[in-house]
Amino acid sequence: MGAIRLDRLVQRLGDREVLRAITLQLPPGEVLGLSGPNGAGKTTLLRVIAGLLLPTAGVVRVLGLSADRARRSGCIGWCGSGDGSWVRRLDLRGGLSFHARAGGLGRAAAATRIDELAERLGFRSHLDMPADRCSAGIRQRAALARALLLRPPVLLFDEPLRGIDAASQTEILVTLRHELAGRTVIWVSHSKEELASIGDRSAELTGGHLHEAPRLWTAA
Amino acid sequence: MTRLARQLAAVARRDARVQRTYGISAALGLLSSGFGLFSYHFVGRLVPSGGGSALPASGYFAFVCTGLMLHMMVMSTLSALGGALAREAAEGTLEPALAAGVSPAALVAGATVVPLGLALLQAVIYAGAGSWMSGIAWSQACVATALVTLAATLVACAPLGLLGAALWLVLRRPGVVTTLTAFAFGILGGVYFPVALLPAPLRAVADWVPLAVGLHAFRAALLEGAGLAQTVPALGRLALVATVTFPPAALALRFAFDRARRRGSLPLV
Repeated sequence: MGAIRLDRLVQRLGDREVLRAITLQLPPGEVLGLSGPNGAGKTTLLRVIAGLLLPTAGVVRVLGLSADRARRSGCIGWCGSGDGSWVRRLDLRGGLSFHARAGGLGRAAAATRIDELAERLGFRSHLDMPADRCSAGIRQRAALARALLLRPPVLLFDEPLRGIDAASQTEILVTLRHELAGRTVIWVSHSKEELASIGDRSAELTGGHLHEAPRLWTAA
Repeated sequence: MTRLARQLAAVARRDARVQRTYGISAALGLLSSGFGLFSYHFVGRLVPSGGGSALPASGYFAFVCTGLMLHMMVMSTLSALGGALAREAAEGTLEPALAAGVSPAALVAGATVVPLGLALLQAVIYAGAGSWMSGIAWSQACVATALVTLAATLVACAPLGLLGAALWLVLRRPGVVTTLTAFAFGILGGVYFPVALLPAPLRAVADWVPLAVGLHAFRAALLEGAGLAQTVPALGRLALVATVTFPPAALALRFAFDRARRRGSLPLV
């Protein structure tokens, strides 16, 4: 059984058919690197799997559950490419703490996990700064931490390294390999090097169709 | 603690943390709210009380002061309910919260905690200011009954807030229901003048407006010391209003949420 299973998934937004009969099976613990041109439907695909969009047709199962049920059970970690997803006046610790506590971590466990991830992702010194005083790169690191907080079995990353400087990207990729071990991940990026270093499989989304290319990229 | 309660508490804690960042400006805002009563103090001198004026013996100022207290708490709650999803979307926090399994119900209900707390504080300031300006005697007030009435009024009015949230998801224009409600409550709520002064058809409508029903009991509790037993008819009416209006309002919110997810119009980053 796939951790993520899509069967003839169709997503229509307005008059446009964004996703056309997509079928995909992603086994537990596998990382799929997904690329594709702008507007190809990559973010839409992630949103459908995350239960943020209801599919027009087809089947979406996450860990054997409907996407909506999987979303409600908190087994999906989400990191969007927008770094603005923080309450602007609230410090990053407060924003992360909200997600940790809403997800069921106690106060002490939440604090420990937040400190640990902030240390690993290199923004510990910014934890107590309001989000609107942090740079885009720092907010994006915090968004990564937010997705990883509750150790969800499924992770959906939409250009998660956007806005982060090149040197730090390499360090973060090393850190993430450790954090992603055993989890099922779809990682969207325009960088083939990034996908090659993180993905087990790769696929490209073009014209609403998913083209799998299992051996297209191999880590150097 | 259930999952919904845990998420609701997390939203309230986060909002309280945000509120604290406003510091002195928030405190000044609270204090200055008491000054809003000044004009009613002087209007009160023009309005005769007792006899055939349809006002309670405590006079117009006490009447409007208690009216404003409940009105403020109800409108703060309704505005928070109706605007919760809009605020989350504006901050960009809606998508990560929903994806992490936080329910829209928790986001909407949790958003009311801090505004209601602040409105309660404001009501206390109004009570103090009313006592200082016009010598309103709160000594015989039955606070327990007033609090029960407040809770019942909020529950009975909440469907309007849920409807506001649902309409926002459909129309993407915030405050439609809140504005209409504020207008209707201004006329039918009995905040500024007794509903007894309304023409008979409007009075019949006001008999079922939760603010008017709650306000009648709220005033009786605070100004005449009415106990719970005396407010049972009003509480029963509020319970009936809530029972009839809550399920369709919750369904409307659910429908609007699913519609937005089907159409891809859920406001995301």
